[in-house]
Amino acid sequence: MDQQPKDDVDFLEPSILLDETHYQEGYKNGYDDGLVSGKEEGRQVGLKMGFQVGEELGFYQGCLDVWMSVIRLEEGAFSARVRKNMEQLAVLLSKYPLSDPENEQVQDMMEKIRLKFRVITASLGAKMEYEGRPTSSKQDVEDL
Amino acid sequence: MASSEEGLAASLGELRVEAAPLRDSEVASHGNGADIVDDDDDIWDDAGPDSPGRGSILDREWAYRQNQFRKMGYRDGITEGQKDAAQEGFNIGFRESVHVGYKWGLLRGITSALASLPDNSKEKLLPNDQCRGRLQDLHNSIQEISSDNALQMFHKSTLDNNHPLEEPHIKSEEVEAVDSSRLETLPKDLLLLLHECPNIKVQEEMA
Repeated sequence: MDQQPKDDVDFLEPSILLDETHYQEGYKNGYDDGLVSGKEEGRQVGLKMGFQVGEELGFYQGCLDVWMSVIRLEEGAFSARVRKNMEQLAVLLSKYPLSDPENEQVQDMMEKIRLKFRVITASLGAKMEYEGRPTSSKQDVEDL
Repeated sequence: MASSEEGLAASLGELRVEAAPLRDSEVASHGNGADIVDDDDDIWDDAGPDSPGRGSILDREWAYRQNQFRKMGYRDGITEGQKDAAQEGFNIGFRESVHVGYKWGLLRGITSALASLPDNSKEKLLPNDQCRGRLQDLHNSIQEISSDNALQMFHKSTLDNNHPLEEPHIKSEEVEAVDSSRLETLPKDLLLLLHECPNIKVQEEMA
Protein backbone atom coordinates (compact mmCIF):
# COMPACT_ATOMS: atom_id res chain seq x y z
CA MET A 1 0.00 0.00 0.00
CA ASP A 2 2.98 2.25 -0.28
CA GLN A 3 2.18 3.31 -3.77
CA GLN A 4 0.46 6.68 -4.12
CA PRO A 5 -1.60 7.52 -7.15
CA LYS A 6 0.35 9.43 -9.71
CA ASP A 7 -0.93 12.77 -10.90
CA ASP A 8 -1.20 11.83 -14.51
CA VAL A 9 -3.04 8.51 -14.31
CA ASP A 10 -6.73 7.85 -14.48
CA PHE A 11 -8.65 7.40 -11.23
CA LEU A 12 -9.44 3.75 -12.00
CA GLU A 13 -5.89 2.78 -12.85
CA PRO A 14 -4.56 2.82 -9.27
CA SER A 15 -7.72 1.08 -8.05
CA ILE A 16 -6.95 -1.91 -10.23
CA LEU A 17 -3.40 -1.90 -8.99
CA LEU A 18 -4.73 -1.82 -5.44
CA ASP A 19 -7.07 -4.72 -6.15
CA GLU A 20 -4.11 -6.69 -7.36
CA THR A 21 -2.07 -5.69 -4.31
CA HIS A 22 -4.84 -6.73 -1.93
CA TYR A 23 -5.32 -9.99 -3.77
CA GLN A 24 -1.61 -10.67 -3.53
CA GLU A 25 -1.56 -9.84 0.17
CA GLY A 26 -4.43 -12.20 0.79
CA TYR A 27 -2.79 -14.82 -1.37
CA LYS A 28 0.45 -14.63 0.56
CA ASN A 29 -1.32 -14.97 3.91
CA GLY A 30 -3.43 -17.82 2.57
CA TYR A 31 -0.47 -19.57 1.05
CA ASP A 32 1.50 -19.44 4.31
CA ASP A 33 -1.49 -20.77 6.26
CA GLY A 34 -2.02 -23.41 3.58
CA LEU A 35 1.54 -24.64 3.91
CA VAL A 36 1.00 -25.23 7.61
CA SER A 37 -2.40 -26.91 7.39
CA GLY A 38 -1.51 -28.82 4.22
CA LYS A 39 1.59 -30.22 5.84
CA GLU A 40 -0.33 -31.38 8.88
CA GLU A 41 -3.08 -32.93 6.76
CA GLY A 42 -0.48 -34.69 4.66
CA ARG A 43 1.22 -35.91 7.80
CA GLN A 44 -2.03 -37.45 9.02
CA VAL A 45 -2.41 -39.44 5.84
CA GLY A 46 1.29 -40.34 5.96
CA LEU A 47 1.08 -41.59 9.54
CA LYS A 48 -1.77 -43.88 8.62
CA MET A 49 -0.24 -45.15 5.40
CA GLY A 50 3.20 -45.60 6.91
CA PHE A 51 1.89 -47.74 9.73
CA GLN A 52 -0.18 -49.87 7.36
CA VAL A 53 2.60 -50.40 4.83
CA GLY A 54 5.07 -51.07 7.63
CA GLU A 55 2.79 -53.57 9.30
CA GLU A 56 2.13 -55.51 6.12
CA LEU A 57 5.78 -55.75 5.15
CA GLY A 58 6.78 -56.57 8.73
CA PHE A 59 4.23 -59.36 8.73
CA TYR A 60 5.72 -60.96 5.62
CA GLN A 61 9.24 -60.53 6.96
CA GLY A 62 8.28 -62.05 10.31
CA CYS A 63 6.83 -65.12 8.62
CA LEU A 64 9.90 -65.40 6.46
CA ASP A 65 12.18 -65.20 9.51
CA VAL A 66 10.39 -68.13 11.08
CA TRP A 67 10.48 -70.22 7.89
CA MET A 68 14.17 -69.50 7.44
CA SER A 69 14.76 -70.56 11.04
CA VAL A 70 13.01 -73.85 10.25
CA ILE A 71 15.17 -74.34 7.14
CA ARG A 72 18.36 -73.71 9.11
CA LEU A 73 17.45 -76.58 11.43
CA GLU A 74 16.07 -78.91 8.81
CA GLU A 75 16.62 -78.06 5.19
CA GLY A 76 14.14 -80.61 3.95
CA ALA A 77 11.29 -79.19 5.98
CA PHE A 78 10.09 -77.41 2.85
CA SER A 79 10.36 -78.54 -0.75
CA ALA A 80 13.08 -77.08 -2.97
CA ARG A 81 10.46 -75.14 -4.89
CA VAL A 82 9.05 -73.56 -1.75
CA ARG A 83 12.55 -72.75 -0.50
CA LYS A 84 13.27 -71.00 -3.78
CA ASN A 85 10.10 -68.94 -3.45
CA MET A 86 11.08 -68.03 0.09
CA GLU A 87 14.47 -66.85 -1.06
CA GLN A 88 12.82 -64.76 -3.75
CA LEU A 89 10.48 -63.27 -1.17
CA ALA A 90 13.51 -62.41 0.97
CA VAL A 91 15.07 -60.55 -1.94
CA LEU A 92 11.85 -58.68 -2.73
CA LEU A 93 11.44 -57.63 0.91
CA SER A 94 15.03 -56.49 1.23
CA LYS A 95 14.65 -54.30 -1.84
CA TYR A 96 11.54 -52.51 -0.66
CA PRO A 97 12.38 -48.85 0.07
CA LEU A 98 10.66 -48.53 3.42
CA SER A 99 11.66 -44.92 3.98
CA ASP A 100 11.00 -43.68 0.49
CA PRO A 101 7.24 -43.37 0.03
CA GLU A 102 7.69 -41.29 -3.11
CA ASN A 103 9.43 -44.11 -4.94
CA GLU A 104 7.24 -44.91 -7.93
CA GLN A 105 8.04 -48.62 -7.79
CA VAL A 106 6.50 -49.27 -4.37
CA GLN A 107 3.05 -50.34 -5.57
CA ASP A 108 4.52 -52.82 -8.06
CA MET A 109 6.91 -54.15 -5.46
CA MET A 110 4.16 -54.59 -2.91
CA GLU A 111 2.07 -56.49 -5.47
CA LYS A 112 4.97 -58.84 -6.21
CA ILE A 113 5.56 -59.42 -2.51
CA ARG A 114 1.88 -60.20 -1.91
CA LEU A 115 1.82 -62.60 -4.82
CA LYS A 116 4.98 -64.39 -3.72
CA PHE A 117 3.65 -64.68 -0.19
CA ARG A 118 0.40 -66.20 -1.44
CA VAL A 119 2.30 -68.71 -3.57
CA ILE A 120 4.32 -69.81 -0.54
CA THR A 121 1.44 -70.10 1.89
CA ALA A 122 -0.61 -71.99 -0.69
CA SER A 123 2.26 -74.47 -1.10
CA LEU A 124 2.59 -74.85 2.65
CA GLY A 125 -1.11 -75.40 2.99
CA ALA A 126 -0.90 -72.90 5.79
CA LYS A 127 -4.02 -70.92 6.44
CA MET A 128 -2.12 -67.74 6.79
CA GLU A 129 -3.09 -64.45 5.46
CA TYR A 130 -2.27 -60.93 6.18
CA GLU A 131 -5.74 -59.95 7.28
CA GLY A 132 -5.00 -56.38 8.03
CA ARG A 133 -4.40 -55.47 4.45
CA PRO A 134 -6.19 -52.18 4.11
CA THR A 135 -8.51 -52.01 1.17
CA SER A 136 -8.20 -48.24 1.06
CA SER A 137 -4.42 -47.99 1.03
CA LYS A 138 -4.03 -48.11 -2.71
CA GLN A 139 -6.67 -45.45 -3.10
CA ASP A 140 -4.93 -43.19 -0.60
CA VAL A 141 -1.73 -43.36 -2.58
CA GLU A 142 -3.50 -42.58 -5.81
CA ASP A 143 -5.22 -39.62 -4.20
CA LEU A 144 -1.89 -38.05 -3.47
CA MET B 1 -8.27 18.83 -9.40
CA ALA B 2 -6.37 19.62 -6.24
CA SER B 3 -9.34 18.87 -4.00
CA SER B 4 -10.20 15.55 -5.65
CA GLU B 5 -6.63 14.44 -5.35
CA GLU B 6 -6.63 15.38 -1.71
CA GLY B 7 -9.83 13.39 -1.27
CA LEU B 8 -8.33 10.32 -2.87
CA ALA B 9 -5.26 10.54 -0.72
CA ALA B 10 -7.50 10.72 2.34
CA SER B 11 -9.51 7.74 1.13
CA LEU B 12 -6.39 5.74 0.68
CA GLY B 13 -5.23 6.73 4.13
CA GLU B 14 -8.44 5.57 5.67
CA LEU B 15 -8.47 2.44 3.58
CA ARG B 16 -5.14 1.57 5.06
CA VAL B 17 -6.29 1.94 8.66
CA GLU B 18 -9.52 0.07 8.01
CA ALA B 19 -7.63 -2.70 6.36
CA ALA B 20 -5.82 -3.69 9.52
CA PRO B 21 -8.82 -4.83 11.60
CA LEU B 22 -10.39 -6.50 8.57
CA ARG B 23 -7.33 -8.55 7.97
CA ASP B 24 -7.10 -9.40 11.64
CA SER B 25 -10.49 -10.99 11.60
CA GLU B 26 -9.48 -13.05 8.61
CA VAL B 27 -6.18 -14.50 9.71
CA ALA B 28 -6.41 -13.74 13.46
CA SER B 29 -2.84 -12.71 13.91
CA HIS B 30 -2.01 -9.18 15.01
CA GLY B 31 -3.60 -7.53 18.02
CA ASN B 32 -3.46 -3.78 17.44
CA GLY B 33 -6.59 -3.39 15.33
CA ALA B 34 -8.71 -1.62 17.97
CA ASP B 35 -6.38 1.35 18.45
CA ILE B 36 -6.37 2.10 14.79
CA VAL B 37 -10.15 2.00 14.56
CA ASP B 38 -10.39 4.68 17.25
CA ASP B 39 -8.37 7.07 15.14
CA ASP B 40 -10.54 6.41 12.13
CA ASP B 41 -12.83 9.44 12.30
CA ASP B 42 -10.08 11.85 13.30
CA ILE B 43 -8.08 11.09 10.24
CA TRP B 44 -11.07 11.67 8.04
CA ASP B 45 -12.03 14.94 9.77
CA ASP B 46 -8.52 16.37 9.63
CA ALA B 47 -8.07 15.74 5.95
CA GLY B 48 -11.72 15.86 4.91
CA PRO B 49 -12.84 17.61 1.73
CA ASP B 50 -16.03 19.64 1.41
CA SER B 51 -18.42 16.68 1.20
CA PRO B 52 -17.42 14.16 3.84
CA GLY B 53 -20.66 12.13 3.59
CA ARG B 54 -20.14 11.23 -0.02
CA GLY B 55 -16.50 10.52 0.63
CA SER B 56 -17.10 8.01 3.39
CA ILE B 57 -19.60 6.05 1.29
CA LEU B 58 -16.99 5.77 -1.39
CA ASP B 59 -14.59 4.89 1.32
CA ARG B 60 -16.64 1.99 2.61
CA GLU B 61 -17.08 0.81 -0.94
CA TRP B 62 -13.30 0.78 -1.23
CA ALA B 63 -12.80 -1.04 2.03
CA TYR B 64 -15.37 -3.64 1.04
CA ARG B 65 -13.78 -4.13 -2.34
CA GLN B 66 -10.35 -4.36 -0.80
CA ASN B 67 -11.53 -6.98 1.65
CA GLN B 68 -13.15 -8.97 -1.14
CA PHE B 69 -9.89 -9.08 -3.03
CA ARG B 70 -8.00 -10.09 0.10
CA LYS B 71 -10.46 -12.92 0.69
CA MET B 72 -10.20 -14.10 -2.90
CA GLY B 73 -6.44 -14.06 -2.62
CA TYR B 74 -6.54 -15.86 0.70
CA ARG B 75 -8.76 -18.63 -0.64
CA ASP B 76 -6.61 -19.19 -3.70
CA GLY B 77 -3.46 -18.99 -1.60
CA ILE B 78 -4.51 -21.49 1.02
CA THR B 79 -5.48 -24.05 -1.60
CA GLU B 80 -2.18 -23.68 -3.37
CA GLY B 81 -0.21 -23.75 -0.10
CA GLN B 82 -1.94 -26.93 1.03
CA LYS B 83 -1.22 -28.55 -2.29
CA ASP B 84 2.44 -27.61 -2.14
CA ALA B 85 2.94 -28.89 1.42
CA ALA B 86 0.86 -32.09 1.27
CA GLN B 87 3.58 -34.37 -0.09
CA GLU B 88 6.16 -33.10 2.37
CA GLY B 89 3.75 -33.65 5.24
CA PHE B 90 2.91 -37.11 3.93
CA ASN B 91 6.57 -38.09 3.81
CA ILE B 92 7.14 -36.84 7.34
CA GLY B 93 4.16 -38.77 8.69
CA PHE B 94 5.06 -41.88 6.72
CA ARG B 95 8.61 -41.99 8.01
CA GLU B 96 7.36 -41.36 11.52
CA SER B 97 5.12 -44.40 11.52
CA VAL B 98 6.50 -46.93 9.04
CA HIS B 99 9.03 -48.48 11.41
CA VAL B 100 6.55 -48.67 14.27
CA GLY B 101 4.16 -50.46 11.95
CA TYR B 102 6.94 -52.69 10.66
CA LYS B 103 7.87 -53.80 14.14
CA TRP B 104 4.27 -54.55 14.94
CA GLY B 105 3.97 -56.48 11.68
CA LEU B 106 7.07 -58.52 12.50
CA LEU B 107 5.46 -59.49 15.78
CA ARG B 108 2.28 -60.49 13.99
CA GLY B 109 4.15 -62.43 11.32
CA ILE B 110 6.48 -64.27 13.69
CA THR B 111 3.71 -65.43 16.00
CA SER B 112 1.39 -66.33 13.11
CA ALA B 113 4.04 -68.34 11.29
CA LEU B 114 5.16 -70.12 14.45
CA ALA B 115 1.60 -70.97 15.41
CA SER B 116 0.87 -72.42 11.99
CA LEU B 117 3.96 -74.65 11.80
CA PRO B 118 3.48 -78.41 11.91
CA ASP B 119 4.12 -79.80 15.39
CA ASN B 120 7.48 -81.38 14.63
CA SER B 121 8.89 -78.05 13.35
CA LYS B 122 7.32 -76.17 16.21
CA GLU B 123 8.99 -78.47 18.71
CA LYS B 124 12.38 -77.85 17.17
CA LEU B 125 12.05 -74.08 17.39
CA LEU B 126 10.26 -73.88 20.74
CA PRO B 127 12.20 -76.06 23.17
CA ASN B 128 9.51 -76.87 25.73
CA ASP B 129 5.80 -76.95 26.49
CA GLN B 130 6.02 -73.79 28.50
CA CYS B 131 7.43 -71.85 25.52
CA ARG B 132 4.82 -73.31 23.21
CA GLY B 133 2.10 -72.31 25.66
CA ARG B 134 3.42 -68.78 25.89
CA LEU B 135 3.61 -68.53 22.12
CA GLN B 136 0.00 -69.62 21.80
CA ASP B 137 -1.09 -67.03 24.38
CA LEU B 138 0.88 -64.34 22.61
CA HIS B 139 -0.52 -65.37 19.25
CA ASN B 140 -4.07 -65.25 20.62
CA SER B 141 -3.54 -61.81 22.14
CA ILE B 142 -2.20 -60.44 18.88
CA GLN B 143 -4.96 -62.00 16.80
CA GLU B 144 -7.45 -60.13 18.94
CA ILE B 145 -5.98 -56.87 17.76
CA SER B 146 -6.99 -56.06 14.21
CA SER B 147 -4.80 -53.90 12.03
CA ASP B 148 -7.26 -51.06 12.46
CA ASN B 149 -7.00 -51.47 16.23
CA ALA B 150 -3.23 -51.45 16.04
CA LEU B 151 -3.32 -48.30 13.96
CA GLN B 152 -5.66 -46.78 16.50
CA MET B 153 -3.34 -47.72 19.34
CA PHE B 154 -0.43 -46.19 17.50
CA HIS B 155 -2.49 -43.08 16.93
CA LYS B 156 -3.25 -42.89 20.64
CA SER B 157 0.38 -43.38 21.59
CA THR B 158 1.44 -40.50 19.35
CA LEU B 159 -1.26 -38.38 21.00
CA ASP B 160 0.08 -39.30 24.41
CA ASN B 161 3.46 -38.09 23.27
CA ASN B 162 1.91 -34.67 22.72
CA HIS B 163 2.03 -34.70 18.97
CA PRO B 164 -0.84 -32.73 17.56
CA LEU B 165 -3.07 -35.13 15.70
CA GLU B 166 -6.56 -34.92 14.35
CA GLU B 167 -9.47 -36.99 15.52
CA PRO B 168 -8.91 -40.58 14.46
CA HIS B 169 -10.83 -41.88 11.47
CA ILE B 170 -11.80 -45.18 12.99
CA LYS B 171 -14.04 -45.17 16.00
CA SER B 172 -15.87 -47.97 17.68
CA GLU B 173 -16.62 -49.28 21.14
CA GLU B 174 -14.15 -52.07 20.59
CA VAL B 175 -11.37 -49.69 19.72
CA GLU B 176 -12.00 -47.53 22.77
CA ALA B 177 -11.56 -50.58 24.94
CA VAL B 178 -8.16 -51.46 23.50
CA ASP B 179 -5.28 -50.72 25.80
CA SER B 180 -2.74 -48.94 23.64
CA SER B 181 0.12 -49.97 25.92
CA ARG B 182 -0.15 -53.46 24.40
CA LEU B 183 1.59 -52.10 21.35
CA GLU B 184 4.60 -51.82 23.65
CA THR B 185 4.16 -54.78 25.97
CA LEU B 186 3.43 -57.50 23.42
CA PRO B 187 6.72 -57.03 21.52
CA LYS B 188 8.54 -57.23 24.85
CA ASP B 189 6.74 -60.45 25.67
CA LEU B 190 7.80 -61.92 22.35
CA LEU B 191 11.40 -60.86 22.87
CA LEU B 192 11.46 -62.55 26.27
CA LEU B 193 10.12 -65.70 24.68
CA LEU B 194 12.63 -65.54 21.83
CA HIS B 195 15.50 -65.31 24.31
CA GLU B 196 14.62 -68.83 25.33
CA CYS B 197 14.38 -70.02 21.73
CA PRO B 198 17.84 -69.48 20.22
CA ASN B 199 16.88 -71.36 17.06
CA ILE B 200 14.52 -68.60 15.99
CA LYS B 201 16.42 -65.85 14.27
CA VAL B 202 14.49 -62.68 13.55
CA GLN B 203 15.12 -59.20 12.20
CA GLU B 204 17.16 -56.84 14.33
CA GLU B 205 14.24 -54.38 14.24
CA MET B 206 12.37 -56.67 16.60
CA ALA B 207 14.80 -55.97 19.43
